[in-house]
Amino acid sequence: MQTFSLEMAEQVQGGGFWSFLKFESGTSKGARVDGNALGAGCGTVKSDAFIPDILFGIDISQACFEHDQSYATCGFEKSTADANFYSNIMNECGEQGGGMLTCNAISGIYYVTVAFLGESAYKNAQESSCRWGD
Amino acid sequence: MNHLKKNMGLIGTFLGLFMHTTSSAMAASFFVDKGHTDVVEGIAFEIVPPHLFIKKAFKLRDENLTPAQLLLIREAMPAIASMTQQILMRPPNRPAQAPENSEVLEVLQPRSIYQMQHIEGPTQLFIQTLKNWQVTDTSIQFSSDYFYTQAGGHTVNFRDTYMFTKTTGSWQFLKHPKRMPEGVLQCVKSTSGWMRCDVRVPTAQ
Repeated sequence: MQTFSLEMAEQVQGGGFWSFLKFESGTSKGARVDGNALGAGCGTVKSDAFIPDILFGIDISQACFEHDQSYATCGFEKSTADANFYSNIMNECGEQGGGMLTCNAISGIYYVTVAFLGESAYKNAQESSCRWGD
Repeated sequence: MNHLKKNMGLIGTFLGLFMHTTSSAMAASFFVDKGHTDVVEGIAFEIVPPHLFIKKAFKLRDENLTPAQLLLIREAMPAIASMTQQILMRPPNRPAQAPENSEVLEVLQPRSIYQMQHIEGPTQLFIQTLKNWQVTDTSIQFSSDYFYTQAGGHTVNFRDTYMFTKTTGSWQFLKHPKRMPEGVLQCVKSTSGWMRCDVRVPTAQ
């Protein structure tokens, strides 16, 4: 009997509907699947397993890396870091074939999250980086 | 069907989480990263400031490292993170090379990606991962993947390789094992949905 895997189906239909429904936090069994330490992608050590690095099939982890590092750069403005985060997700989403609606939804969700809930993370990262000269 | 169920579960978890974290107290504990201890093959790594985000980028799993090699990387981690931070910072304007017959004792320095790639203006370099570890008792070699976003919004991924050596009890940068960096990487979307970047494979003419 011939078996037909999901991966084969994705190759046939180019990801499509299944790809659109793909959400991945990038963690498995308490560790990141990319081999980095927890908190290296989207989210922190505590939230890494719950915050998707792939949302609607779009890998936004690089935008998260940049956003984390911007927060942790002494003197970097929070509003600039958040605005860059929004535009980086839009760019990455577009380059990965995301539609306008999808890209706006993803960047909107993440932007609102960091803009309204990122203040304490920003302050903590700034204090640390300015103290240590990061 | 399992795929769909898993995704729907994740969507639910994410939305639920988003609503729950609207209280600032919860947000503070959930979104603030003050560091942690990461245990790899029984070796504990302190992923803490300074250079917390660089230490998080150390890829230590699936690298075929023995506990003894991991211990050496743990020992060298602060020095490697510090050098990486130095590379991420824009260098002051200075000649690329010291003038000939300079009597100043030259400290070994890694090459500047800003200068090599002619990265100008406010564009900033970021680190994605440190990997491909090759470890002996007295040397540690690894590759670092960086990225930066050009003015038009296009992201460039770049790799360079470094070697550290242990002298007089401490680890320090020794040299670049290769005369030239691996350079700009080619990124493709894998079937699993992740963007994967690697050195360009030359195409036959």
